[in-house]
Amino acid sequence: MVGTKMIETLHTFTSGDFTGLMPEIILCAFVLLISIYDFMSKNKDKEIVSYLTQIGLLATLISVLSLIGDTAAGDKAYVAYNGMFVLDNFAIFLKAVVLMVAVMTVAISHKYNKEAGYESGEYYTLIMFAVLGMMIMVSGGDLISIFVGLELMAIPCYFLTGVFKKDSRSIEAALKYFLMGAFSSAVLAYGISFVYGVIGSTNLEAIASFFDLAVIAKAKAGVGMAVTPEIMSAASAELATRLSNPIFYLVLVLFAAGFGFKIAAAPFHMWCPDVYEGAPTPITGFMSTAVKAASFAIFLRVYATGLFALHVNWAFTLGILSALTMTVGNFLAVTQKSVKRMLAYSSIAHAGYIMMGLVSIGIVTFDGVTLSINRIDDGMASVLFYLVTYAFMNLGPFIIIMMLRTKRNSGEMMADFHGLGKRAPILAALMLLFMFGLTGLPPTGGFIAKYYLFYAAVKANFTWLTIVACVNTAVSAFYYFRLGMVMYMYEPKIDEEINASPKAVHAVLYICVLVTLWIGIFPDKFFEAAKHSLMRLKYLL
Amino acid sequence: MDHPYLPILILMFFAFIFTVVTIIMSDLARPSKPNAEKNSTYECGAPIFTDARGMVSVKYYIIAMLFLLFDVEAAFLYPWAINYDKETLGLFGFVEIVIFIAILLVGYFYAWRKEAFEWES
Amino acid sequence: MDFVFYLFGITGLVSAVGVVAFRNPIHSALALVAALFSTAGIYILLDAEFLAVLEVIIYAGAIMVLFLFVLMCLNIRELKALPQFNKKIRPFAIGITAIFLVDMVYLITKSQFGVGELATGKYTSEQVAAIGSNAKALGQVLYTRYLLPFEAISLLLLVAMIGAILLMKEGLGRK
Repeated sequence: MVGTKMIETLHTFTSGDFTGLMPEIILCAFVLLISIYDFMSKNKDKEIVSYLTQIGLLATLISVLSLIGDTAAGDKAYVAYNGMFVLDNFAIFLKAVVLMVAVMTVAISHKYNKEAGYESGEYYTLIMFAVLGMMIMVSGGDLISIFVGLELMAIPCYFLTGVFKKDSRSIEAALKYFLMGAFSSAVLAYGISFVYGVIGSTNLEAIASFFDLAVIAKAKAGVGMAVTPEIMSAASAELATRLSNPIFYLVLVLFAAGFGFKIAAAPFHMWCPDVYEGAPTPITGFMSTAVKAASFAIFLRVYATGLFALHVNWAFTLGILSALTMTVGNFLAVTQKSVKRMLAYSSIAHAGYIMMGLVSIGIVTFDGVTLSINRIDDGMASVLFYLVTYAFMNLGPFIIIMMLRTKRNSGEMMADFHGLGKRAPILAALMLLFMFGLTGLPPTGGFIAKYYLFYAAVKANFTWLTIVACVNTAVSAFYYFRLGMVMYMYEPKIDEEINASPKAVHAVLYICVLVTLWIGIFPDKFFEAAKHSLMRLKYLL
Repeated sequence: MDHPYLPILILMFFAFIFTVVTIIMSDLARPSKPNAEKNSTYECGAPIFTDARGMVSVKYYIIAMLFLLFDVEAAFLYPWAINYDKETLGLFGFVEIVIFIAILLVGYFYAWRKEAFEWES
Repeated sequence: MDFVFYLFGITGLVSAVGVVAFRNPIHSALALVAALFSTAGIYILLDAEFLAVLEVIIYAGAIMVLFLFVLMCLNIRELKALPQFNKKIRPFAIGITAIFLVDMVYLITKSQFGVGELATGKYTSEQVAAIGSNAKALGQVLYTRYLLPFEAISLLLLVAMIGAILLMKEGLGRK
């Protein structure tokens, strides 16, 4: 036989390959079985599918949480499938958040879709596919698996945006989202190709060791040889050329554009208001919390592991993007007449705040000999902490918008909120609470989350950014409180009764309220959890 | 210049030249006396009944989309097929590809069930 | 060999510009076919025959069919009447593109590629020839090292199928 040689070795499965991947395997099995059940059953009412989806997501959540014990002790993390998949506490933390948001989204969707006349089982399976993509993505140890996970997250979202297919806004939003999203994915893939071209690997560990002085010195010395001072200085020189390799500027620009699109950072935010407005409200809530959290998580994972050494090159640029993002978001939010659109702009602004934590993950200096990385652990933890807090306090307002929908009114416009204090005192009070949270006022979690972010930014010498953020917070207070004023000081414009919502919707709303308040009053546990999970981030420099 | 694909390049070159030369030659050699009848679209001798640029049914889109997706799936099978050998991928690769195809089979039955393959409706 | 590279490079670039510049979408589609074939030619020069074949089968084949069918679903006369660029943003768009292009060319020419310890991998041209073929080498790495992303891709294709049919179903089901 000619040419039957095998260069690669077959993958030998370890227990970690199955244990670590168990949540994904469970979710995958559920999503396939639910898909089959959905298209085989003749039942037009999809309530059962919605319950099955919740069961599947909860089962996955339990299996994710059961993994905590395995990775909490020591520095143990599963690295499976040749470094493609990393299960560390960071991934578990994010997976738990995403799954919780997904369960809540599914729980509130059924009646909403039924009333709109767009009931479909695919709606639920697509949500599960998106969650599966996020789980693969936040566990990605290699840019390839991150990219595949990112796409598996993004493609269901394009479809979910357009699921109300006779509503021209929904279809327009889906098309815009898809075109821009596809383009940004291409940009990201292009960036990844350059990383591969320079380093010869897309693995995050390999990228980190590319900038590791000890690794370079060892390679220079050869196998089993001692590292002499001459070799050490040669290695330092090599590291200096690697750090100043101009291609990394291009890589960083392409990555910033690719990831920046997913988190809706200015100037890549253009899709966001239209998509958030056009998408079904539960999906808007899902996209502005779960998708955003997962995208930020992967942004953080890539930048805090492989690309941390290049911090000097990207921190300032991302700082400027952060300032731009929050300013654009807040100033445009002021002029909006639709509450849903206002929240979309506010979500852009919040992406700006979170990016502030991203640039403050540490201070990296290269003195010509060694690369010293001073991590600011609070900075990194503040990103995660903000993501959790934001997930709950931003889902709440969307649920309220959903509950305000009546036969004739969408519930999305400012007019729907006129005099809400009289029409539905409880909903108005909760909305006000969420607005407090989004502004960053105690006693909500929003205050603590913002406090940690600002603190980290000051610590990382980004004082100017903190000042910009403070000014922005003041601007944001204007439109958040205008909504409060509209609810309490204006007379109702709409005389329709507010429909009774199912118990599940109320339950989810109260969970959001409780978590927002709980984080605000007892933040320590949450912050410790965020910090703990970050310190276990695999390949953290 | 001993690249194994050189003959194909040469073939492409001649194909290109042949096309260009034929068109130019016939243009130079033929008499040119156009009239309305000659300039009209020739459709197997039958009279034209609509404009060629009309809109067609969106069903074509589904057909093209499914073709594309199964084409991509098939593309993943080539490198597997030539590696399917006891000395290389073997049983490991077999199980792997079975999972891959099984997942896509769900999509196939989905399309079937949703009548995406039905033309008449 | 250089000559062939430039031949494919130039035809690729010219037809890529054509894709954007032609007013008739069918012409753009044909220019895209030319661009894809040129890319396939460059892949062959890089000893990546399998990728070249895939480029032709999937891109110039299946994706072009999809594009043309989509064009057939649209009203081309109306499309042609639309302005191609918003006149106001045209200078802005061209300016940004030009700056980005200059930057990219500058950075790429100044950069060093393949410098890491891992940069020279196992798959040199000689090694690939020793295994048998390009497609074989690709398969060996795809089905072992990239096992997880490979299986995830089947889910990706499934999602694309479900989503496309979901959005089109109205026009398909029996009334």
